Amino acid sequence: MVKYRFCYSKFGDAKYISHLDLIRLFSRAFKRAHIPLTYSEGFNPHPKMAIGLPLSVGITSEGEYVDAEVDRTLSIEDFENLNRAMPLGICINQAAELVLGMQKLADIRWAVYTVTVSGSTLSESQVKDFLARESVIVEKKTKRKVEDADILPDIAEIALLDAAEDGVRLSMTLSAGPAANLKPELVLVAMSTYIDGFRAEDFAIHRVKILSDKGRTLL
Amino acid sequence: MELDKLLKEVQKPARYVGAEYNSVHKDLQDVGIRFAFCFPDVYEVGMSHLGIKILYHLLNDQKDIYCERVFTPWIDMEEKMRQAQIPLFSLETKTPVKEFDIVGFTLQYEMSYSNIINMLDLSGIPALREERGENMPFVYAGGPCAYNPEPLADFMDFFMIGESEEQIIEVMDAYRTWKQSGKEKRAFLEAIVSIRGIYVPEFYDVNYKEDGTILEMKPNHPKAPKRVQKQYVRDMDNVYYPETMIVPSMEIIHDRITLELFRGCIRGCRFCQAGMIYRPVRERSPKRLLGLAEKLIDSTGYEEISMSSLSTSDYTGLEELTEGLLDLTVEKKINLSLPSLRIDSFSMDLMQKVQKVRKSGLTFAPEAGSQRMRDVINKGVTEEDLMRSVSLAFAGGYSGVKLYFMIGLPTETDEDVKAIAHLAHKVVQAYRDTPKHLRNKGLRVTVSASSFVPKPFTPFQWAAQDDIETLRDKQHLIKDELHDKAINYNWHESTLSVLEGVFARGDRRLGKVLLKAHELGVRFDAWHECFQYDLWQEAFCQTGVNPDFYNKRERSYDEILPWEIIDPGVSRAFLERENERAKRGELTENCRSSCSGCGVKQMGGGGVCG
Ligand code: SF4
Repeated sequence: MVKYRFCYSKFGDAKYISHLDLIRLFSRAFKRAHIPLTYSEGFNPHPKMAIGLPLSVGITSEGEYVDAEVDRTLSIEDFENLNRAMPLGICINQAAELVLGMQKLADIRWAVYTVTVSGSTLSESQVKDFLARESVIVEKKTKRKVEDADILPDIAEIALLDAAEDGVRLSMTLSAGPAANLKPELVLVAMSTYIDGFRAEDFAIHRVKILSDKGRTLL
Repeated sequence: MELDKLLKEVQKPARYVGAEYNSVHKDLQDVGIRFAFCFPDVYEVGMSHLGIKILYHLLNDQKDIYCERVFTPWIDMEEKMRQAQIPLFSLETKTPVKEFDIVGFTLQYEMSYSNIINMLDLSGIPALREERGENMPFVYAGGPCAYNPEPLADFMDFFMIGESEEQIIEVMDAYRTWKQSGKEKRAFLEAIVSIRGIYVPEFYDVNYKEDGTILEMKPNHPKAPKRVQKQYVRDMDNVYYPETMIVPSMEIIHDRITLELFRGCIRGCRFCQAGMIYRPVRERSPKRLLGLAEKLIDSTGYEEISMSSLSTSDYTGLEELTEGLLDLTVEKKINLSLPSLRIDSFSMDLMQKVQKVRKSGLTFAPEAGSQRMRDVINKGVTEEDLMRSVSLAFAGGYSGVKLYFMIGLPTETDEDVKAIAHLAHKVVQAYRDTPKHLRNKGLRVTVSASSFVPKPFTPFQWAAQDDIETLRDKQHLIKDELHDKAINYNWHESTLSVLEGVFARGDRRLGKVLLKAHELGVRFDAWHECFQYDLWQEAFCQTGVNPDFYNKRERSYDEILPWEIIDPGVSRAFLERENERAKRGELTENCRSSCSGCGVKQMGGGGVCG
């Protein structure tokens, strides 16, 4: 039994594949690549696999993680086969054997996004003012209820990458992981509410990387 | 992109993108024929269907043909597409359906017809063939319901009758030649009308008698055959079968590898259309199937493989095949899923080997409650057979049993209906009679009663169908007779089966009803939550077509039936004979014990019977 961590990207039409469908998708790709996954014991054996952080449907990414246990050591050829066995839009960029002392998926704390908004613009000072607010209250849906929440503590950074008359590109570093998770869509809703003249109706979101509590990527 | 914006707002956007593993992506520059394979239901249903997998890969294996898939957008997506004025598009390249050369629909059930009209509408293709003109694609249909093409005759340029693996290649060849010739569309139809199995409705005239029945159906074109013979595969080992299948990225209904063991059925149940139209029985060899299984497992990565046929227990190579599959699935670490099998020591043993998991329910289909009724439908199963099987199952540790029945069968009396409940009670008793140390706890007997719909080319094609009230009464009759907590009873909505009956045995005059119903907003009739019977009633009313004419009448042997423009191989003489035997409750032997001369041998070109 060897544990591996894979870093993969998800783009194009594959961005519509839901988080719930990913484990099945990966285990089939491993089968096609003839890489023997390790299965759990018991009545209903399932592959020992864990996805780092859910990604909402419609969002592309170049830095997702999945940990998987396999029955043997993998070669370079295995990784090539694995990529050939992936559906269009899913690609393994990096992989490494998991060794003691490496960060765990549970250590995930932040995620960095690039957000492209068309049809509206922003200035540096507007972003600064927004971040300087005492609080940013939005309606947040949890599994059971809808409630007002202050999302400001979950925003580490918002930076303006590009600004034109008809669109902007932003970088956002937001809380992610088991303890607190802030979706960039919700930040856009908040910005549209609190920044005069800014409206995010037409946008594309891309996850650039996932970081641990130490601020490092996990591979 | 416009589409991206839409997809963010709908449920299950993966239905509409089509970048799945093993989906085909071609350079459009190399493509001469663009073919849109349309399944008139949602992705999850369509992708579960074997025919689409066969034809998709078969066509795409031809270098210059690009076959892409199109499914019916679910209500939410349709609404958004109409708002944004996005026409219906193919999954692979997102090309508007209108821009394809050939648009083919597969007809799996009558209740999908309204989706066909809706899909054409969403494509911006006029539904009526007469209104389509030279710049529109050819629209055709095939599949089991095409055996009665008439209700869709106004909409389709042509139909492919029978199994199309071989014939579709001929049609494509004809298309290539026609495209080069630069001639008008009619010339293509003239070229293919002599290919076996091709029915071109505009080449036939239908005249009616005063009482509304058919006076005559005759060709108005010298090349059109008097009757269109079905096409069928002679050699199952050598016919095309894909060695790879698309692996959907989202969950679908049947998400596994399917091996088709054979076509046809030796049994001859009198209500069953599949058992008649797919004659004769043609098997694939276990060797071929095992070869395919291995290739499919490797190319798809699926964790489960299943066997498909009309009656798997009748497959002559079952032992050899299952032994091979068991070895293969162990080696490849995947599951073998068994279809419902006749319960005997062989199948019990097999299930023991396969199901390491919890012993879930077993399925039985006695179809009718009383012996008399079972004899009428030629279901050669006795109460003893059933009791022996369920007892075996209970003693083997199975505690869930599902029983499938039909109500509304010809000659059925209240006693026959009540017998369904009585049989269910006897099954419960069989459980109680099983020694406690053998049986498992928690008995569940599920009784499911569906409404019988007479189908073309069956011995019951002349029968009157029960009306809604009668069916409801019968459903209640069963319910009132059932009094055991272990029995669960469910039934199907009868209004749906009435409509199904109209279209199953309908004629060309239903085209206007379909069009009207579409205008009124029907779609997804097969989906309980979408079916709007009142709109259909309105459509019948507004077009002046009486549904009772199709359903409630017992037809006489003198009548020309709309679907008799098709020759399915089984002869009318055989069907009449079987209908008479049914009335007398006489059983007809299965094809392996003795040939009952159904006529399919006369079709020529071989095919093994029995
Ligand atoms: S010809 Fe005879 S054996 Fe062949 S399908 Fe018909 S009844 Fe069966």
